[in-house]
Amino acid sequence: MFTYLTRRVVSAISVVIATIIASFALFFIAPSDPASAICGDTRCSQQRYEDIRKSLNLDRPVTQQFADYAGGIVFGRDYTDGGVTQHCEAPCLGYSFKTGQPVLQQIEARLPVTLTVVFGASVIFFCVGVTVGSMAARRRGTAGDRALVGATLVMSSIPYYLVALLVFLYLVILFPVLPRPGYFPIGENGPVKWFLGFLAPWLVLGIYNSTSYTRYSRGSMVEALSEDYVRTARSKGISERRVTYVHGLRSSITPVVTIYGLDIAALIVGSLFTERIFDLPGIGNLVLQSFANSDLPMIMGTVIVGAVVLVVMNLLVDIVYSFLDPRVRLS
Amino acid sequence: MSSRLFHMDGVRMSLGVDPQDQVSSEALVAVPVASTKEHGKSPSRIAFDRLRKDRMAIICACVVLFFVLVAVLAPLLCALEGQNYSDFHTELVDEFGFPTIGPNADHWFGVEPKTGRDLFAQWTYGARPSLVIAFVAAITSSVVGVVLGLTAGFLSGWVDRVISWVIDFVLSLPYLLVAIAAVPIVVGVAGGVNALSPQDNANIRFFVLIGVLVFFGWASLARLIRGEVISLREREFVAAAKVIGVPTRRVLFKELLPNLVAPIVISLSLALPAYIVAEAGLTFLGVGLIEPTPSWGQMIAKATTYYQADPLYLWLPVVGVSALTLALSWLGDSVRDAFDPKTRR
Amino acid sequence: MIRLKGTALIAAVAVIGLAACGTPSGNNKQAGGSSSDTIGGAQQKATDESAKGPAKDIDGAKKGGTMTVYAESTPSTFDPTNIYYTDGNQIAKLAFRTLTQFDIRNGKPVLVPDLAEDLGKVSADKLTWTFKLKKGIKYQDGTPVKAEDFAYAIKRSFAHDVFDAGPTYQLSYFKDADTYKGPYASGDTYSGVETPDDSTLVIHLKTPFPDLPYYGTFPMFTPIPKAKDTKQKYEQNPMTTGPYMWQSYNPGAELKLVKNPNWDASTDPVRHQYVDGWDFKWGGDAIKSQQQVLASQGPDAAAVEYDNVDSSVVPQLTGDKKAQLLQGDSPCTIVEQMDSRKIPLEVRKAIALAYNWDEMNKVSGNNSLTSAPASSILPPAVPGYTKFSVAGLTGTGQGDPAAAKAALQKAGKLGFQLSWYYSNDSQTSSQLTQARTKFLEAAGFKVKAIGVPKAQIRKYTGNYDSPVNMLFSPRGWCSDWPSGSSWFPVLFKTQSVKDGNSIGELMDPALDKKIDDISALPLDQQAGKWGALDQDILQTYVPALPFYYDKMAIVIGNKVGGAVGDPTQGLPVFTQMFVKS
Repeated sequence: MFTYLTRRVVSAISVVIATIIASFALFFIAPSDPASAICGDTRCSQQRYEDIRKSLNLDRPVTQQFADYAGGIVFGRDYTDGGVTQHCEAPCLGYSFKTGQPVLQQIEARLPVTLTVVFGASVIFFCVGVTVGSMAARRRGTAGDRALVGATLVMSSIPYYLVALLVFLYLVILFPVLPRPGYFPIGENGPVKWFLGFLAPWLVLGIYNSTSYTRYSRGSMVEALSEDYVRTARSKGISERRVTYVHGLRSSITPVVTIYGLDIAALIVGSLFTERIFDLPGIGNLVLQSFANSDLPMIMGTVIVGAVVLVVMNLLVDIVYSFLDPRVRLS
Repeated sequence: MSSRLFHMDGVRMSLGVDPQDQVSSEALVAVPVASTKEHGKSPSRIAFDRLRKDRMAIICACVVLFFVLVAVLAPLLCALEGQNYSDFHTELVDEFGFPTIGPNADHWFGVEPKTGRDLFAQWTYGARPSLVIAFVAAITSSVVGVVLGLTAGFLSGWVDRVISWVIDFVLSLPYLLVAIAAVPIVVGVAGGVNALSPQDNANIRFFVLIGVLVFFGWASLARLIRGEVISLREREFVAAAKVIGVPTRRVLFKELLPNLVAPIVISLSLALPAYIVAEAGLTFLGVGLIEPTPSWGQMIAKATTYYQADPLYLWLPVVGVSALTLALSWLGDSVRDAFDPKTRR
Repeated sequence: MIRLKGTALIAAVAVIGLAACGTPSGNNKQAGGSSSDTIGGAQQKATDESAKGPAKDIDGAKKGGTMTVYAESTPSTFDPTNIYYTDGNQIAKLAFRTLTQFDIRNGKPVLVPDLAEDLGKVSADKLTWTFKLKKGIKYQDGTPVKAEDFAYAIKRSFAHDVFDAGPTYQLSYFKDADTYKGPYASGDTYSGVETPDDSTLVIHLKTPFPDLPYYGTFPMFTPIPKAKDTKQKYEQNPMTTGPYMWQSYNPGAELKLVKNPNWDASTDPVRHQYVDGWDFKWGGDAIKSQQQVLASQGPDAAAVEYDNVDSSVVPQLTGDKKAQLLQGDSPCTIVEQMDSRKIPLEVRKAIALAYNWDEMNKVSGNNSLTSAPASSILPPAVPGYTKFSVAGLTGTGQGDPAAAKAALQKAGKLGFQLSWYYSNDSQTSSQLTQARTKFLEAAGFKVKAIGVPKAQIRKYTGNYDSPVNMLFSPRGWCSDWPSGSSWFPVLFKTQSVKDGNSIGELMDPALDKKIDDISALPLDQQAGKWGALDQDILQTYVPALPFYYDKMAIVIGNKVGGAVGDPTQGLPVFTQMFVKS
């Protein structure tokens, strides 16, 4: 067990380091022009433009710059210009070209929104998926079952962002069926407005992702329901409903839990489309805006943070999975 | 082993294998197969026969074929209509960009907002990048994945460890984030200032996009193949072949590969719709294909401004992408069913 | 499953069928906006030295309420020394008072004293300016504003490494600007500013700068006490002298302002303090915010979205909602530049004939609300603008490729090659290039368009030695202050080419002299002369093709009162707004 853990942790750390190097390499060869994030086309004289470029001093050798950057992540960094020194706390991911603010600070400010969307949606997809899957399992072979399974197939085959976009355009903008999505911090707006602001993205993301849970829990529930102990329960006279939801569910839930972990990890990083379409100020939208602004430190910082989150979540899931399934450890 | 799934914001597009399919693929290779036909039908043959009898699969294949034909025959179709996809007709658009005409004899689907380009031409040509990128990327990443998976599984030792680490690394990268960061950078480096006309630029972007998709796509298949090879190589027939002195390459190609056909085909069938979705998604975000390449992803992105007054502009590419993805997904499902009836629902 | 798929297909066809009924443009309930009168018109006096506070009350104005302001593009800084852009500048006026300021009267800007008593007195040799400062002004915490605070703020603006985005006129005009590098690096002693007593500020120049009173409206001239200078952190909690002070600032996301209890209305000829507080929110999608503001539900009724209204929102501006569109002038003109060193005059005239402006406008996304076709360099918002028309340079029409071809042939230049850089990852830039290529080739030119990433384009278009002959930067210009003196000496002199800031790359000593002569005149006499020079330049040199003037067209909530456009910035005047009941 211990060797497995160490192996996984070492592998995870090496992946993070590789990501940092890769991001830096990308950054270095990028056609970057930090001044254009600040300078426009009609107000910036060439002189001003040159001044801004110089002040961001990108003319030191690569290895030096990388050492500075990597060192900054571990120890923090001091930036000096014009006689003023700023200290950037570890882990230092640099300063945004656009706003001059520390990258990590801006990412941290946006993280709660992304996490809220993902966790809220995960509650929905888990509950909906398991419920619908169980319903289908109970009615297996009937037309109802086939309809449910068919519907999940159709929905899961259409790309997510199309579904989200159509829901947004038609059910939020054109016909305001769903409340207008947005981030309304609880502090100033109260819990109701906060909740309604996330409702639309939760529903769309949740219901869309429930399809695979539906199929999976239906499959494992079908198997569970044909087990001996379930037959025994039925012959004892326990109601069908109790049989399904108490006995059947218990055994089919375990594998689902581990997939849940995997999905969450990926969703955190992949919530770009949701945030873009519903216009939520999360990390995904931050990446897209930074991309539009050519704000490279921000893009780099987000990639690194995203990779770390993904690696950590995968690591956790692997560890949990290894407890549940000893074969994994021994492979 | 824990399988990694190729995620895209909730769409479980596995280029590897769903855990629920894990059981099936193990069951599949339980019986080793000789590479000659005299001993009965090979699993591939059986699968293909099953496929032919599946009505759903035939219908889906026809839909896919329809789109492929539309894409291939696009120049012909546009010549029939008498338009091309690049001419601006700004006289058919009002000052706010809304088209002043609907579908008519000259423009079968009407014109595009703002530029006034013919929508039928845009749509038919728009099918091309999606299909080309999906097929090229799927085949390339499959080839790369199979080769590396075979090598890692068969050779083991440090080669295996290195390749496994690379696979882990690629699968741990946040795909969308890296794609957004990487595409403009790689395009900038690849194209440089030598990229001349808008057309040239778009071409470079096209290849970079395929490259990025392949970069992320090969890893799941490689891992799967590696796992299969590892379990296969301990079997008697492989050991026997080695003892006899059959050269490694022959072992790989004649003994192992036929047993891997099933997971490869399944993986390909899953990859195709995944890549179509990926390309359209990246283009929708603005990171994929750009002007002047006509593409469905771009049409969808632009349509969000005009859809209230001009729904056709939105629905044409939406139906295109959805129908194509649906057909390919269901075809993939049927393929998997054909290879292993146990997963039939 | 087959049934499901079938029904889905039928449904899709039905939608397309329904959609096919009626043309999209006809489905637009609103066609075209009412074009407001944007012609410069009569020249009213540009300055009013006698203006005194309090500012004249606005009819119907009420106190109270909170104003929310949305915008998609984020101001990059609120450090007063670092603010240059229109959005930062306009918002800064709520909190930072400066030496001088603009009062918008009848939609036109008039320069008035703000924290100074007058508009400055200049010495005979034009190198020394003396400003008498108002007495009794306090910061938001009650501490008094001292003359040395004004001096310190000016010194701070020389720390150009730290405040690299701010304006730089002081670096060119003020004394010892090449040696003084700001208070952090070069200490407190700077010969360019002096405070002989507690209510006098003296500025020493190295070359005459008659526009200095206009420059005094910039936020960098707001007083900053040295003891409170927290350098890069200053924008988190700056010292304010205006009607509002900082409550909280989340850079790139939100700024909240509340009333400043120590602002004295009787000293301020420009601003009002009707609203209780301001909430600026940036980064949200412009279309979404505009629709919210238009719907005016709840707090959005007292809201403004200051991005130009999007085409998709325009159809909703009917009936009552028409009143929620605020229009005004903007101090920017966009042009299509030609390099006069590489393209002969006859060819430039032929290019002018070939341009299909209708197509250019549509592809750029311009409409009558957000832009007007340009026929001069100066936009109508700048005093000095005169309405004239040089044939072929009106920014309208579909062009005449045949006539252009004929003109080219006559000049013996058929097949002349035109080349430029464009952003290959920007949709609009790419489409514009396609449009230009088509009509220029139809006119007998050869075209070579080179695509570079948007992130790099400035590097190429800003280098006048690049191997192209069209569309160098700047692609237009915005007035730093409402006078032709912030346009012509900057853009059309031989020096401009060296500065990388030229339109047309003209290098004519005769033109230089004309410009210098007008610059030497007193400010009030310059306006008409600049207008005449504008026409002269376009007619004689054809350095560029005027494309369009920017206009302001934004949506405001239905409870927003007192909203007018500020033609010096192209944004609404925040300091006059109030919340209707």
